Amino acid sequence: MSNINIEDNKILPRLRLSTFQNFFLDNITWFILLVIIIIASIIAPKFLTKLNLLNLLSQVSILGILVVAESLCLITGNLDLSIESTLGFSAVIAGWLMMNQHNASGWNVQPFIAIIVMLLVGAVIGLINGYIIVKIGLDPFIGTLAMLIILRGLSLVIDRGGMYYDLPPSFNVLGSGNIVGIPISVIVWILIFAIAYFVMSKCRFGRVRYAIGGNKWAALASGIRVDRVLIATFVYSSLLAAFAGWMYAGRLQTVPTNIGTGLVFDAFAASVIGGVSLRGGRGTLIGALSGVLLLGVIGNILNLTHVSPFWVSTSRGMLIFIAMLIDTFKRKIRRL
Amino acid sequence: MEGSKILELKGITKKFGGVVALDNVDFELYENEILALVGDNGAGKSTLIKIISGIYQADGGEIFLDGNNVEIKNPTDSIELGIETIYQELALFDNLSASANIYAGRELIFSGAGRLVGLLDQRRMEEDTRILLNNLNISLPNIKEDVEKLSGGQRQSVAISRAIKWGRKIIIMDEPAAALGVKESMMLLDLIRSLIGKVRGVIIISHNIEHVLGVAHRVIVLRRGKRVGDIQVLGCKDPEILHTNLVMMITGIKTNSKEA
Repeated sequence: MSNINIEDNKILPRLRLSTFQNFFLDNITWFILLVIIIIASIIAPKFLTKLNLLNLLSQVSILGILVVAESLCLITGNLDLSIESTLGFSAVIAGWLMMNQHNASGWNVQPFIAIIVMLLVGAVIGLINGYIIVKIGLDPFIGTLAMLIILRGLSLVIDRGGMYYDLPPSFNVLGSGNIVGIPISVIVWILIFAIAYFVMSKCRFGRVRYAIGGNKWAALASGIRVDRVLIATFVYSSLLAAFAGWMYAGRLQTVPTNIGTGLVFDAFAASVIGGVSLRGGRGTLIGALSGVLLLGVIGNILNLTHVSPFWVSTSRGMLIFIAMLIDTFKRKIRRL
Repeated sequence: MEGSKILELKGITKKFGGVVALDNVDFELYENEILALVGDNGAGKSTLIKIISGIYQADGGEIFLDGNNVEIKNPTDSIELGIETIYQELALFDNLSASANIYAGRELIFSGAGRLVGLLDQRRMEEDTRILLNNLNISLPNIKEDVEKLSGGQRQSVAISRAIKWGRKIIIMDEPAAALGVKESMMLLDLIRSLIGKVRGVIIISHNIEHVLGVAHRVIVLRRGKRVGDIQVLGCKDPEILHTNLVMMITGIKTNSKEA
């Protein structure tokens, strides 16, 4: 059951809100985003230019993909802390395969093969995560945290603390390429979001995940193959992370050894701010999208107004705090 | 009432660690019968039901459905055999709507291209749910909202509707009246009586002897994992003696009565 404040329920009946009020609360992050965009266009005149907006969308492309990955896990009632390391590890693998430097294999593997290997690595990591958490029963937080750390370590073992640079141009197309002036990375991440939204809200794929996140036991009793769905979810999550690794390395055109570090916090922040609950079963990809855009807009404003980049982390933390406050506020208002 | 046995359990044993939940229990359900399963806490009623519904697997014993030996390894097996179970906890999805709850695990998918992606036919599911609830005289404020916003009795209605919709052979209810008030309980008992004809047999677990005597054709009594009584209710001439016998069996004073 939801968190019911027993005192509240004794005194006050359940409150029925109007359709608009419900709509407002469910999409509150979008309204906040709207307000902030209005403020931004006032205090930073460059904000509403096509160049800046495209830049903004480009900046959040990696985060966007990771948020899809994380939201998928969260909705089923799990979480995946390892996605940033999967991103990093798969990028390191690709660099190691393709390049010629002292810390690479020297095999000069073709980029498209390296990409396939990257994605396979992602899928395997997801399978391992899924197996440990679903079949063995390890707590998702601990399990994926361990994987996070292990993969970081393995990355160091492989690249020996150094970076891979001068990556092949065909590899970089996803991250750096443009089509009719629009970055391919932007088109791709928005496409991924659109597909994720579609399968999560209109298809059986999403319906069983929301069911499992809402009541795992009831899902079992309904004949849903919970274990299979959960393991598959971890595979999708890590696969997306590996894909993001391909995009990120392609954007940087190098693979720095610590590529992706810190992204998991941003992914969580955006998901939670966007209404995807840590409890599971609640929140939508539309909401998650608002979280991604909110983070992007705020980062962009801080940049345009020349605020020190060190404030970015603080602002992210404050955003999560505010998101939690809003969530509590929403529940109190509905007295659920 | 001696029709044919539609469900029979022979020698069912179930242990949880060192605790024996069910000890060589026999159980049978006849055609068109409303059977009550009663017993005190810890008697093994829920365990027995969960073996029939596939949540648990028996450590020993056999299950027969219409005379055929069947294996029920998981809830899907039970559902496929035509057995619908309403658990005491209701097993509802708080974060889903009434129609989503009713169609959970059995969603309607668009045919054709939609089938490839598993596209949900939301409109048809909602329409069918509306009709179903209407036929059962259940009214909900808004069938699209999450069921966590419904009252206890309304949630109960959704759980029951789900079982009625999908139940082909047997419907099992574990403490269906536990959270209901007097009027709602009476309506529930009417509903249970009306199930015969829709399905071939109904099993009810209940603590409430008044309810049991009001609706059941026959009662099986469990005590501490063993079957201690089997009483015919339908056609009984003296309800008070029946009542007393039941209580005595539940509390262990008496066992193995086959008549009222």
